[in-house]
Amino acid sequence: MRKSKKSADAAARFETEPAEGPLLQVVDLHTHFHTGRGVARAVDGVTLSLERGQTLGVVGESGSGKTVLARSIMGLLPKSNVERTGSILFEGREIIDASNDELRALWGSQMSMVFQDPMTSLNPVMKIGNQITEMILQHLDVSKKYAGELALAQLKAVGIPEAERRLKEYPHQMSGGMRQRIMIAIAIACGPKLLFADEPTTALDVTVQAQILDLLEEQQRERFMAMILVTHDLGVVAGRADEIVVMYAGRIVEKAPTGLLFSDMRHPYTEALLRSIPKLSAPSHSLLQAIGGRPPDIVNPPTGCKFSPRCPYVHEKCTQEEPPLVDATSPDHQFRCWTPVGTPENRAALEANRAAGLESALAVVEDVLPAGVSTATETLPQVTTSHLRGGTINPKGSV
Amino acid sequence: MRMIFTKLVRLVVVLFVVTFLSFWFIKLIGGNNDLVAKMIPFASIEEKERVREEIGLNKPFFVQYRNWIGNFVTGDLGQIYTGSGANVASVPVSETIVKRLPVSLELMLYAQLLALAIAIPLGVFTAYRAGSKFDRGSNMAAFGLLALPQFVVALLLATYVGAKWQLLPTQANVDPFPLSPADNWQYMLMPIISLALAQIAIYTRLLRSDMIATLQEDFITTAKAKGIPAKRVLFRHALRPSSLTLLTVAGLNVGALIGGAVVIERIFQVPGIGGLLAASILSQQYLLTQSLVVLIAIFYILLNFFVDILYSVLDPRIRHARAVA
Ligand SMILES: Nc1ncnc2c1ncn2[C@@H]1O[C@H](COP(=O)(O)OP(=O)(O)OP(=O)(O)O)[C@@H](O)[C@H]1O
Ligand code: SF4
Ligand SMILES: [Mg+2]
Repeated sequence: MRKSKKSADAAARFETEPAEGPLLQVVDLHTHFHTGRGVARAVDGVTLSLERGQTLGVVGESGSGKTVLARSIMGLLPKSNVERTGSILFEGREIIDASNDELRALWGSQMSMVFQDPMTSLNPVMKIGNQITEMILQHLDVSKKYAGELALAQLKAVGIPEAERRLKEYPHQMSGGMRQRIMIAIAIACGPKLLFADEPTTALDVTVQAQILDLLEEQQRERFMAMILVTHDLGVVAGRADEIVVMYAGRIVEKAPTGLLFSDMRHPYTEALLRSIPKLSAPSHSLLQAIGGRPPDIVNPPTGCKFSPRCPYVHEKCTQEEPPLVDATSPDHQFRCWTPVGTPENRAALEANRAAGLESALAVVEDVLPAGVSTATETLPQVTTSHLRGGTINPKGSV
Repeated sequence: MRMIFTKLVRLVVVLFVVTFLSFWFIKLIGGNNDLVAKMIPFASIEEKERVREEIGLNKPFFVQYRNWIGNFVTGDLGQIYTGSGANVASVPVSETIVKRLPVSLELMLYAQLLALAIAIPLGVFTAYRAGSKFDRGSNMAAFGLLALPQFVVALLLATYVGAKWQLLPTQANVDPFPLSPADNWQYMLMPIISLALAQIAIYTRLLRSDMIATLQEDFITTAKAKGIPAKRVLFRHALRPSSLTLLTVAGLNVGALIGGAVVIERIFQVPGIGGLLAASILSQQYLLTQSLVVLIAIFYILLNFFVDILYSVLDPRIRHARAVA
């Protein structure tokens, strides 16, 4: 029909045909915001690639640039005061300089996004059914009636009970979990090849979080869809992602296949993130460790390693020179640290910092460290978060 | 449904209060006996007494009010008395009003429609391109229009378009006034524009700022991420949730329009109730004044009642919240 033709035209505007190889390749992507205070380097030289049907976990604290990264790749950032450089290849085609008209052919049909807050990401004055069918009609050459049937099938697929009735309802008549299911139904309705899930469970009750993540995983497997799962919680991606990138201040600080990351974690920040996952098996109180200190100011970041003001292993070189991203034992495992976790130098730096009374070093509670990370036998007084100075980040609930 | 019922009850109460106040105020202005003396100053004493009797001015206040409102709902609005000595004639107030009212309603309706027809696309577009040259230009134009009183616009139009260039007639005092737009547009165009210009500025500014806020909402990003074209995102997704303030103000603004119509109708000699109201006050026809004031008040209240109902139509959250309450 008329609309779908428009979509097809726009797709034809890309000169090259979809190529073999990775679904998505991002090379040295920078997204800088020109703010009143200066340039905010929200994404600062990110390189990653994603195969079809695979899941990439993007992990980092609030403000580390995860959302900006996802929206930069999709081209969904506001136009003003933004500067994007680098390369984004989707199916081998460069899309970083594509216009909105061109991208519109990809949005929804080739790549789509599930947002963090289901309470605000659905149109409050439009019926659920229309919100799904308008998109189907936009991209697929089908009749209105068929689009309605498709929408119904989507709602059933994402586990909405009484789907017929729900189609005629408005978002405010549903719970957060149900709305997020609807967001997912919308996002996958046109069979995209790549799904961005930007903290899809952060705004939801703990009990619902696992259901939503399982739903995403199940739909992804069924449709052979690649997914970029953004979260601040390593626990969320632990069992779900094929590969994980850990972001800090707009940069990748560690990148590895999931298994390797957990068995051979190298970056102190990754380690800190891992410690901040509450463990059900452990006694409460004593074990919750937030990462002390504040996330860096991305307009005026610290010199040298950006994690240095909060790192328990910081030493002189860290504050002078930023470590490059280097390969660990295998090339698909990379990290950005002068004295990675598990090395004797790292150990020595920690001892020195403890002796010097550095707060971040004293806060390290050894026996919570996972296996594979070097642990000393001496027991230190356990320090709970309440003893840390203000500005700690308390990770929100996890599964 | 229950919500509409409660609203209706409230509406009836408000109508009673308003009619009572109008009735009372007009009495206060005149004082009982003076009113007739002012209406027909040159009539004989017997005739004046007869008219007082006819109107019922010698009855107690509340009886007068009851009779008046009883007649009012049956469409009997009293008489306009004229003449001198023993020759006092009368015409029913309703007859005059029925002839004049549609003209004013037409004027206000078209002014309102014209204002909205220009302000909505303009507000949407300036919000979408906020900060652009076009936005800043329209912003300045809007402030200019707001600073310009309606009667100045009307006089400028009458002077240039009407008198100097002779493009449109300035004297619309035609009897009977042609109510079909095809026949009367040349009489109505300038009055409509004079009334609409300031409204355009207000409505555009209002819609623009609400639209800018709506365009920041997450669900707009969702719509964009679905691949929906910009035009549809603006008009199908953003406009409706942004239109509640506009609707409220458009409803309340009818009050300003009525006030404006009084002046504009005088300038262009449009035979509407604006001119009639002014004339009724000047010639001390207090029954006519009273009827007009009450009719205008009722019209205003009814209109805003419908605006209130429209909220629920536009926003399902209001509908459901009210249904629960
Ligand atoms: N439009 C913008 N203008 C200026 N700075 C921005 C803009 N959008 C984001 N930023 C900045 O970019 C940085 C990264 O933000 P981003 O939203 O990507 O973080 P995040 O990792 O998604 O965090 P969260 O977990 O809170 O969602 C933040 O410091 C933020 O202030
Ligand atoms: S050890 Fe140094 S380089 Fe490594 S994370 Fe800590 S501060 Fe950065
Ligand atoms: Mg985010």
